[in-house]
Amino acid sequence: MTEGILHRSFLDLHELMARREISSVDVTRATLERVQRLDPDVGAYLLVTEEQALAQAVEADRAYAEDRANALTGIPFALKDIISTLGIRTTCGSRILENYVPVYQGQVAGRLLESGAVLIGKTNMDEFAMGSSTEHSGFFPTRNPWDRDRVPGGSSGGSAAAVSAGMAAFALGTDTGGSIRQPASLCGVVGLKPTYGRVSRYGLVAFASSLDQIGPIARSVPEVAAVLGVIAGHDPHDSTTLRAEVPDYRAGLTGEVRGLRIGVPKEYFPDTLESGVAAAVSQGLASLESLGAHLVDISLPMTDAALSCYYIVAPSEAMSNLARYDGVRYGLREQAADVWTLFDRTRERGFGAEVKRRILVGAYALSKGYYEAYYVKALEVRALVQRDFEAAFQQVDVIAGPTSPTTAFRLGERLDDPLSMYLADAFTLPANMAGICGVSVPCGLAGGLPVGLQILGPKLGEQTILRVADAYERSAGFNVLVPPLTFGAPA
Amino acid sequence: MSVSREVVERLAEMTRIGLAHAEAEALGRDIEAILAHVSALQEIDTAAVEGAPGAGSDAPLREDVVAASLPVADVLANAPQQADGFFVVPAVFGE
Amino acid sequence: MTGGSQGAGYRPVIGLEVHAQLLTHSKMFCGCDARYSGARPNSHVCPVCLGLPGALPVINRAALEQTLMVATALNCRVPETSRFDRKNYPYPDIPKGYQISQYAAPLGRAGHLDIFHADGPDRVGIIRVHLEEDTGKTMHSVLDGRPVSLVDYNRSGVPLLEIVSEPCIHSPDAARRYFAGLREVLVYLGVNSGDMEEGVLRADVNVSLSRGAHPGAKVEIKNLNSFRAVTRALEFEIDRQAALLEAGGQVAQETRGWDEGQEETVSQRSKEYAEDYRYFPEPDLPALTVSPERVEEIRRTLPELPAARRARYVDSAGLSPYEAEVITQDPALASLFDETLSLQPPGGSKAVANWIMGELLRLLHEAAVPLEASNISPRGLSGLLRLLGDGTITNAQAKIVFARMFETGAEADEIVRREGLAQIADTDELAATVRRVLAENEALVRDYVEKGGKTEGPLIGKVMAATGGRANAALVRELIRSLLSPEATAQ
Repeated sequence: MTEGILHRSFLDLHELMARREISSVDVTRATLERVQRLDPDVGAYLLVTEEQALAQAVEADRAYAEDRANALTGIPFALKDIISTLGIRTTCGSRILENYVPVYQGQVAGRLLESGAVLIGKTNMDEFAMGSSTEHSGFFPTRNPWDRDRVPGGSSGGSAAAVSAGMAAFALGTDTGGSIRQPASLCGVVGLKPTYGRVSRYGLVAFASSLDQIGPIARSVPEVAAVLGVIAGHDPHDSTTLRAEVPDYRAGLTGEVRGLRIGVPKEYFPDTLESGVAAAVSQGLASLESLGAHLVDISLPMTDAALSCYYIVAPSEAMSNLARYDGVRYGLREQAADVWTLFDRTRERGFGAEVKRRILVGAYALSKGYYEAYYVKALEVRALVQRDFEAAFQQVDVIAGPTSPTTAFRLGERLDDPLSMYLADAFTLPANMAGICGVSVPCGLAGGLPVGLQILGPKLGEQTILRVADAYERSAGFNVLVPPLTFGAPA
Repeated sequence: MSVSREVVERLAEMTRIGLAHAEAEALGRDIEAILAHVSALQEIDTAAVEGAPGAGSDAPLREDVVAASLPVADVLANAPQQADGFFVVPAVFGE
Repeated sequence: MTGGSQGAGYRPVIGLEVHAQLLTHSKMFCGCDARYSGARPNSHVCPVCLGLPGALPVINRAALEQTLMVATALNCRVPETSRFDRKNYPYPDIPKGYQISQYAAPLGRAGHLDIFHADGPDRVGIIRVHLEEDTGKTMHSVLDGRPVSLVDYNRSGVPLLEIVSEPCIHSPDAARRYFAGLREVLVYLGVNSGDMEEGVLRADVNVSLSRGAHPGAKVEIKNLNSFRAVTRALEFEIDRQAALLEAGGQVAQETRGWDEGQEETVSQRSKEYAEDYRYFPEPDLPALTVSPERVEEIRRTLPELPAARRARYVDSAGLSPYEAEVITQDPALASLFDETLSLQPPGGSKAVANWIMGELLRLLHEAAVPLEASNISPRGLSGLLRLLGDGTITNAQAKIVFARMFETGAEADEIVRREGLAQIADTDELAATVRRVLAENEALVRDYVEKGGKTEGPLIGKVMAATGGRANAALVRELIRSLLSPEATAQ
């Protein structure tokens, strides 16, 4: 079987498997071979679960033979290594969890495995999802399959790169400030951040609990819709999940956007926006207009404030969420004569610089004397960011603009300047602050690198944004952007 | 906004992160830059905001029913050190 | 002597923070069995209460209900919206590095508890009532010659109520009375076992010495788990502070521990920021909504509290304050009193009280069992009192019958019938016995006659002995008098 099949939609693969024209074992084996060939140059995976994958593929083929398969059965996928998997090491990209093996199954991992999807492995990420380039992985950076001197974005860079390079049909990422949409944009794939509470966080290693959300990354909108349908829904283990019914997301992909009002916020087109990005996004918007949608100029005045707000709220929650990594119950332990020194040394050695930075900022913002000025103020501004969007969605159905202000930047380029790294999320993190949904869909290339069009919708507006993204994807004519892989051993 | 090495060390002790002096100084500069950036928040009028948004309202409640715990072997599966079913750490002295 | 300090013009100002474990089946935020006493270490533990990465809390309904009962019983205001916060502090037995507690918006505020006191009720203001989770337990040991701490998380996550009093208590004895009064309320409400030795009820006390309008520095003494410890620790601390002040020194604001063996408080050196808990709203839990209607419903269905019961016993049942206090010290005892009384003809309260305070408490004490474990029921006690009242049995017999009831649970009339204990009230049968006794005790008869009938006691005793206590004493006296009357002896 040729590897070419690995860039086809998994919905097609599912049809082929249902007709017994290919088997899950074939597809899984081909995927594993591709990983073996390409990943030494990409570094998308932290762990490849080859043996389990083949066993699952055999089981999936049996499911097809017995007519109990669904669209995900037998499909190779990857999980960001922040999503707990029973019996499979889950490091969160951190040395502090290098040898941690969960003894319980996370909710989404469970749902996907029960649907018969085949887990290829766990993908690389910025440590504890703190970063926008995957360079902050505690193990190694991931490279962008489009240009290996450039970052894949982050923090779900491993997931986006794996999907982009055909090393998984789909992957799950997590998005706290843009960590699904931004790497999807930089790697030329589709990435969806669902509404806060749409997908269970039970088993998701927490970074910033009020912002974190798991979502799918795939090469096309219908595939993203199919995965969302499986992972979305209420979970009694996560008190923040929504009780709303899960619609048939794929059925909503009608290709129809006539009469739809698309808000274009002026704040998302600043002077500093890369010209190539601006051009590709404008072209994308123009094609939506030509499909019958109305473009409406809007303003989201809290866009800049959202960034400042994010860098208080997220580190504060992270400071608390990461306090449990103390070397007592699991994970790394540095030896010491007393427990306090043990804590200090374990955390000194186990956490990278970016994680430490954010923990300390969080402690600062929450400490006596600063709490009101920083944390409380940030929560108030967060409410204003929400109002910004609520007001906008009175006027328009969706909001569209660039996902990232730039295309993929060079490895190392922003490593020494945390603030410039943070700016990579300027257009994505307001959605997290407001708890709304957003999707990034490829809208062409700039300088040979992918550009993403971001479409934001109100809470539980997944159907609408997916419909817009799908309509655009169909009209754009490049259903899938395939990176011109110039590396790896010959097939 | 000045974040001295002493402040960084205090924050580090609060969050139990051992820091070398040099690292504390570098982190102090980074934190200072971040705080300077987020100080833009102070300019925003939030007088109209009533009650900070939390994780929503009306928390779901779980019925008071006992469910199975993990097998002790699983509880201790990742323990760096254990003895007789306990997690073991060096003595907790003072503090 | 605490008198000395008061003599010097210092007035102790004392407040208590009482922690009470709630009597739920499962833990606060997970389904683990909350009854951990005697369990194998770490056998009542799951991902949630072990703080595994990705696990999330879900609120236990019963813990919330019990807290609302306590808040209502303590006359607190229950706000419509309350929420959980994270209290961040590192410690090996805090598995998440933070405790889920309530800080800014507790379930109850601004209440009070009236404490029964010889000089009338003392009112202690309650600042707040809040719900949190208990910590694990750390034990000190030696392993391979090194001092170690052993950590058991069975207690981690057990629901814990915290009740904070106003600093309005002015003596160690009043503090003890308040603590005991609070314990009584909790036990009455059925939300705490009251078993202090099991550590289900613990108090942190704070004490300062004020002089005139000048408040003193506040010292907190943590983890006192007996009434005696509260009294002794406060006495010691008041003396220590007074001596310090009188010597011209200053009291340091600090936390001290209570050394049970040495009976002294010991400074627990801590850095000022060690108590900077960096509270912030728990992002994993939405706010709690409690409608005023729900609070009213709870208030309506609260069981009668000990203070009200005591007042009722004194005012309408005619018991003395002492009797009322003894009977209300155990809710089971008070229920027995109430229910027995309801089965009795009017005016029987004293008799019921006497039996409960006398024979019942004596037997319970001897057998060292709680009332629930004995066989005494309201119906049983009422049946016994009826037999006593209608003269079927004597007082002496009743005690025997009661002891049988206590052992076997049989009804009084059944015991009387089975054991032939009914009193001999047949004049002919008894007259024959009296004649026989008089014939056998010539010396006593002679004495009786010589002293003009003033020494009937010994003769009555002989008759009672001869009948095994079954004789009606009044009838015996009458028979002796008539048989030994001058007319009778003259014949």
